[in-house]
Amino acid sequence: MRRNLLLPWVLLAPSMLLFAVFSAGPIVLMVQQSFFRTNYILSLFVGLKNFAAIARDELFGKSIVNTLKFAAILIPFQTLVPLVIALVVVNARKWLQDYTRFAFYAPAFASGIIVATVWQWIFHPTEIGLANYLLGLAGAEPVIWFGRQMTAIGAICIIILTTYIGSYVLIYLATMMAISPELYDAARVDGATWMQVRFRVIVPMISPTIGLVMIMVTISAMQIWALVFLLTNGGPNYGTTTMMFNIYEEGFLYQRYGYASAKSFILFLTILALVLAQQRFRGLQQGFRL
Amino acid sequence: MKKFLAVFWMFALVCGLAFGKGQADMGVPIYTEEKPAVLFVAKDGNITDEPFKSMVTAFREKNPHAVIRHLGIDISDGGLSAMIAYVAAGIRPLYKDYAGRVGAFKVEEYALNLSPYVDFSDYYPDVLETVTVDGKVLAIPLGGQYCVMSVNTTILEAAGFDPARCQNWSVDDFLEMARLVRDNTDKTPLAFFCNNQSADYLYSHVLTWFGADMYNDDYTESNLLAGGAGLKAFEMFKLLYDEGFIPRESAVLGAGDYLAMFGRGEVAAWCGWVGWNENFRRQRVENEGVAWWDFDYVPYPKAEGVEKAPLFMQNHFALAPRSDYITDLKNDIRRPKDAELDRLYAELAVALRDAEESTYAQNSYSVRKSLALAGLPEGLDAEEVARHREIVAANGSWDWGLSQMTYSTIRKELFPRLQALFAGEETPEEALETYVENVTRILAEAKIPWIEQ
Amino acid sequence: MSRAKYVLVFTLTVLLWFPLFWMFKGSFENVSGVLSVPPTLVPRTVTTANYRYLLRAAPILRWLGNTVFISVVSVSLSVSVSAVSAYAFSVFRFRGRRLLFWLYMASIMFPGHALFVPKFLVIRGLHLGGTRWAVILLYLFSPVHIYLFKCYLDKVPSTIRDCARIDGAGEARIIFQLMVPLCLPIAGALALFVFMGCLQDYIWQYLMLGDDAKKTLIVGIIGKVMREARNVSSPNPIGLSLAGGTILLAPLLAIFAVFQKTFRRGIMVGGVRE
Repeated sequence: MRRNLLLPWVLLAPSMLLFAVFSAGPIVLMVQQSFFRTNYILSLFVGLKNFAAIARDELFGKSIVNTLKFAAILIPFQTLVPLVIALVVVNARKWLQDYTRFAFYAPAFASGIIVATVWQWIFHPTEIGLANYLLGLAGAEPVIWFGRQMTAIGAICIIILTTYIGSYVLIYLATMMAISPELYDAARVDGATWMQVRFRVIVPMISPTIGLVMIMVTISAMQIWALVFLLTNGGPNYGTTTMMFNIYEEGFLYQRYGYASAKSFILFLTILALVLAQQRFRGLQQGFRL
Repeated sequence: MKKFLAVFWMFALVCGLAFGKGQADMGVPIYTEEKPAVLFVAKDGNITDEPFKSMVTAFREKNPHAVIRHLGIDISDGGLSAMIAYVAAGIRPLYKDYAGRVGAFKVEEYALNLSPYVDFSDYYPDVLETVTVDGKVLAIPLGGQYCVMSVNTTILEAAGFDPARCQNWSVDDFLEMARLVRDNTDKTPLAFFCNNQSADYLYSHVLTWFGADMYNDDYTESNLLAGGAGLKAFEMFKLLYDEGFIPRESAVLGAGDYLAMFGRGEVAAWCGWVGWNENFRRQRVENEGVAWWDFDYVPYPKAEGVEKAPLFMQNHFALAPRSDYITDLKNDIRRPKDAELDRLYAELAVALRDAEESTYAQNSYSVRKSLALAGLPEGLDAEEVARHREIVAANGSWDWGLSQMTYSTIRKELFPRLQALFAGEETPEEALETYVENVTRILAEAKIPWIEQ
Repeated sequence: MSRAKYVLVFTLTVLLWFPLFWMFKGSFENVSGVLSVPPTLVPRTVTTANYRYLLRAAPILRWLGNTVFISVVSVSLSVSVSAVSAYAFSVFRFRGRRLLFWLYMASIMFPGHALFVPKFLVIRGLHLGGTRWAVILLYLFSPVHIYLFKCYLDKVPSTIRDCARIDGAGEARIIFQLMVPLCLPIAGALALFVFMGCLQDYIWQYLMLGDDAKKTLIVGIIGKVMREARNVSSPNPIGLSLAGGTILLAPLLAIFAVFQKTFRRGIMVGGVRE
């Protein structure tokens, strides 16, 4: 490692500048706004009253529970399923790997609104929808997918899983490619089976990446908004209202931007807490480390 | 390979620097002494469509020295957030949109008082009241629509219910009709969409069947619990669902489903705006070969002892920004007042009003007394519109809080209660109580002063 | 065992691609096909009405041009910034390294909606409102990409660099002739992510580029689609949005297909033998 004191900062200058202006700046503005009551026409400094109101806000509490429900389903599945897929094809011929990368990533190409339209069609409450049609073939009654909380959450999770699996597969594959082939050869020579090669050699080697993917998945699961907005509008009866959705409503629907900023800060703290908890909890694995 | 990459990246950087900046004005007019400029924003429409085309022409004739620009906002839901962002950044356009969204800006600190510039004596008092704050008229009402009930007479006849009875029917008559339609045909008796708040005017009419009153006189609390009318309405909601008079999936049906249901002649009764029926029916018949069906405009069914079942009215406004609007009360930052700019914006608002009235004549009668007999654009049946107006005249308009700044917040309270009601999670009493509590709380919050006393 | 690999991958592919296929199929149907019961795999009547409506009087080429411009600049600059920052984090140990990195990662934990208006205010404060640079700059900084790149660089043994140095190469030469080809796989992946982000991000492009001349493909197409979806008397809003989705998909598929070949060639073969 080198101890050149100037060069790293020179190299980091562009990203630091971008960070300062386009990330940190808006964040500071947002935190400042959380101490105000504002609708951008009128502004009033209210100190900590927004945060006190959050504590009394029942709907926000419900949204926290909903968000955790989403996270509980999505975090394990979205971290592990792409890993399994990557492990299956890591040793395959090039064309299969390329095909896998393409095939699994392609569903993410469709943008949010289109994804919502297609899946709304698939999950239509009557037999027009493919899901209910298939259920009908199996002899079951059509389900009003977005009419009950649990089926709505389940449907949205299915959509997220199938659509956004590809980037994680890509990430896993890319880091697996960087493992020197010698390691495989060495393990083979030692008589390792297919499973052992993967679980004893590859997985430990890429465990920082697994940690990163888990964090990425956590951060995105805690910020689910688009699909809720397009499919259920927070319903039924606030059953799929996530924290992010509640923040959106507070801001853009009710025009309580200060309150929304305060809630955003709380959401940030929640995400940070979860990420730090994951760091601690990873135990024997290396975890996401610098 | 690396040469290619290096060249590629250089090229991209150069292109970016050369072409990326462009004109950094976001359509915001550049105001100078010689060329004052105004800006407008409207839900729906390009500057080349009516009514904006006529508005621009009229404005330019009167003010040839001024520049007029248009900020295009395409999407109804994104429109408000974009508008908020513009306002926060100090961009101030003339804004035309529906009551709920314009309401947020209808405050003295932002909106120009139009009384000195426009003669409002011709406007109906209750309409004007929705845009008046402290005696100042802050927006021009641009014509509205009443939500009227229609019945599909083809279905009623097939079910064995005489459509003529609907012209002055009671709730019991309605329930009889619903039962007959449900039992004798495969159609749905009443349309219902409570997936989000935008259809609320299409189903909240049930509240007026029982003569319920949303608010007390000074809008400090919700009056629905008084007199038991509110409870009867909520019990009726539950009855409609339990008896199968409304679709089982009502809780997830939304805007996209109106056309599918009304237009295809799948429902016996529904609420909608004037002009929808002809439009939808023609579309479905032309595009899908759906069989022709007939309809009548009818008043809402009335419960015993109720004389009038007022209709829902939704209108839109044009609101002009003050040249000296306060952006920060605490620091009291104000721009200097500019009489010329104020005048220009007021003129633009009036030009829009005139253009609207000639383009959407069938809506303007609802806000201005002198326009009661205005001519109709093509495609609308004079008899049907006349019948529609009769119903409006006989029943009046229901006050559901269009004048309140928190109108769009309050709207959002009803549909989750109905979703809970239909899912069996709440009883009608509980749903109503929660609804009244929430509405009262929202009204109270709105009254908290911005300036600490 | 190897047989099972193919079965698994292909089965999952069918499942994952089904919605895309459904979208493609539905875009060619009229409203009775789209709402038909039972839903059919092959449309009964094929119509191009949806496409014709979307492409009619739409300056598609201009939108596409704007999109390409923004994408090319964003991809190249973003990957460069990420690469350079990752190199700094990976190769050097300097005071403040850990803190800076955690600051970067913390910044993506803030929910986007509350930052919507503040970012707008910052852009406007820089007098960049309404320009394509406003959009490009927002896409450039991505701590996740920096971390991915850094992980990749960590795996590259320092022996490679030391060998080259022994052979007498200067720092710049090391970077350009050695490191760049080495990083192509990860750079390729990141380029793809940024490109996807550019093509799919609706909200920022909508807000910053309202002007017709500067609109991008997604804003234009979705604008048309949404205007129809909100218009309650439009004949086939579902079919229209499916057609819109297919149109938006096409450039992505094309680029992905092309990209695959490019970065496959860049993968290091052989490794370091000591």
